[in-house]
Amino acid sequence: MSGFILKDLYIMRKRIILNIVFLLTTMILLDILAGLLKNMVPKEDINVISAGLAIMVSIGTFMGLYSLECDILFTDERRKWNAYSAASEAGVRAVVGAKYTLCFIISFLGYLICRFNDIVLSLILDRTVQLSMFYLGLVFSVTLLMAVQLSFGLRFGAKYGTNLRLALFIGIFVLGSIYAMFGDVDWLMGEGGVRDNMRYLLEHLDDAGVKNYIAKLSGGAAAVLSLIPHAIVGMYWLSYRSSCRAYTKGAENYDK
Amino acid sequence: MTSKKKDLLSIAVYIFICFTLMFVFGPLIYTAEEGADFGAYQILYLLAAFSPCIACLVTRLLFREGFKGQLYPKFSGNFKAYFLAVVIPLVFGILNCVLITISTGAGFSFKLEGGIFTALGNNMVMSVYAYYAMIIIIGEELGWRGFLYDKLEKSFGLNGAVVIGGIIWGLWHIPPIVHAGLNFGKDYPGFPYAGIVLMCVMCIGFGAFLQLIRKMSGSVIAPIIAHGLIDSVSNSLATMFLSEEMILDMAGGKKFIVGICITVTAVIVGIPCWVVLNKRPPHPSPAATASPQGVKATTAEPSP
Repeated sequence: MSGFILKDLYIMRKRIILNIVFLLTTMILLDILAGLLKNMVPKEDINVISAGLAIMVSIGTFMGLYSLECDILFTDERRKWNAYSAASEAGVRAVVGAKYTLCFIISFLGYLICRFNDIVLSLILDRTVQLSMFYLGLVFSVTLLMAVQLSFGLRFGAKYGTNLRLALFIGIFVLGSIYAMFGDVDWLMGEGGVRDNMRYLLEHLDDAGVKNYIAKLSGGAAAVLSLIPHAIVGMYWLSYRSSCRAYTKGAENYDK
Repeated sequence: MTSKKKDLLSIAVYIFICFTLMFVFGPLIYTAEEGADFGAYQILYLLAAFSPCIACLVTRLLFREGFKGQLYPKFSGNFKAYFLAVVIPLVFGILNCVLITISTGAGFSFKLEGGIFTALGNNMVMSVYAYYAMIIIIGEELGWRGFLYDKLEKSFGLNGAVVIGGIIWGLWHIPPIVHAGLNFGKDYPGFPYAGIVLMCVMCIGFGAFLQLIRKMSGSVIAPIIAHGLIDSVSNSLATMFLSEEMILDMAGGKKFIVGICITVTAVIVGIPCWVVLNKRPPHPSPAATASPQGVKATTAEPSP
């Protein structure tokens, strides 16, 4: 399997290097900005600024890496390669497994970049900046997106898969908008609803804040909320298994 | 230099780097006041927590051993190992819960506000925290199970590896035991020596279990999962029947009792694992078979 991972990395090497250089440059610029702001803003606002900068870097990082993960599907979309790799000693499981493993490695790399940024920000601002739980949330979000993207991409071809994913997101957005306009949104926008909870979380995004937030939830709500990451891991596994089955069928949809 | 001498030298270099990092940076973070907020805290903490991993990487580079097979998950055909990596920490947590509840006389009923749902919620939250714990644990497992235990096994045999490895692993925890009262608190007779001895016993028990699943799976990913669960879910399972006041008391004066309970449970879990480990046919792990430059040796070395 490691051979397939290395192959994908080799094909995508230029994009990976470009992405990482771009991310590091943005990170350094934002950290310099943090250093400048440190002496300009009141001490009580430093917390908000450090969290804001860390969030900006992390969202940028994960968006960049997500686009990179989407490109993994395009690296070897040829019928001949599909047939050859499926017939190789490693088999379909190794080929598909390599794609899923590489996606996870890239997401984990995103987590490490964000944690590195936390350390640099901490040193610049001389206070602990640690949003690791938030970054883990981003890792799980990207994992969920990739579980959908990879299974569709490998079954229907990368192009068709991307379009299908786009249609799915637009569909969810349209349905959500219709519900927001005509449905009951008290649980969302009302007092103590999702909006209030989101606001509280945004104001207390550091690890201690997230822990306090969870501690405030009732036992049932905390249990349900805690199930989400495990469900995502399960979905990623199921997506892998279904992709293994659909891999050879998916080749029928390739252009070449 | 003979192979055995080289192994012993690499163990010595590993221990020197690992302990130097922990004993230099550990006291700086563990003596800091609770909630300390200074810029270098994170980097110092990571240097201490990842000292086994750093030592492993440096030693492997110095002795040109390569890194093959260290973090490769090897899920296929190793379901049993990963299953045990999840189940045994849960069993450990439940056993711990029984011992702590009996020793504190709490009685087996859910005392937290909200009853069983709050207890369930707490455990579920800790199961998410396990993912975070696993990332930190990579720093330990890559060094202990991924390097030291294999090297010790080559030089001192399986039982020697479990005992000596456990003692070294336990001694590595001295800074947090002395400065932060890790597992046993600070208010007990014979502080900190009794705590250090108990920690070594605990590490021998845990070491046997973690080395067993490391050998079964042929990867350090399984011990990382198990260790992460022990540090998160097992701890919350252990306090399932206690009231909040009691849990706070556990963090203070009664921590030594909890520490002893954890040690006893670690031994209860560790002994069967040690027995199974001895019964297993010799199956060379990647580090044991790796020759210089990371190329696998094709012939087994004759035993001395």
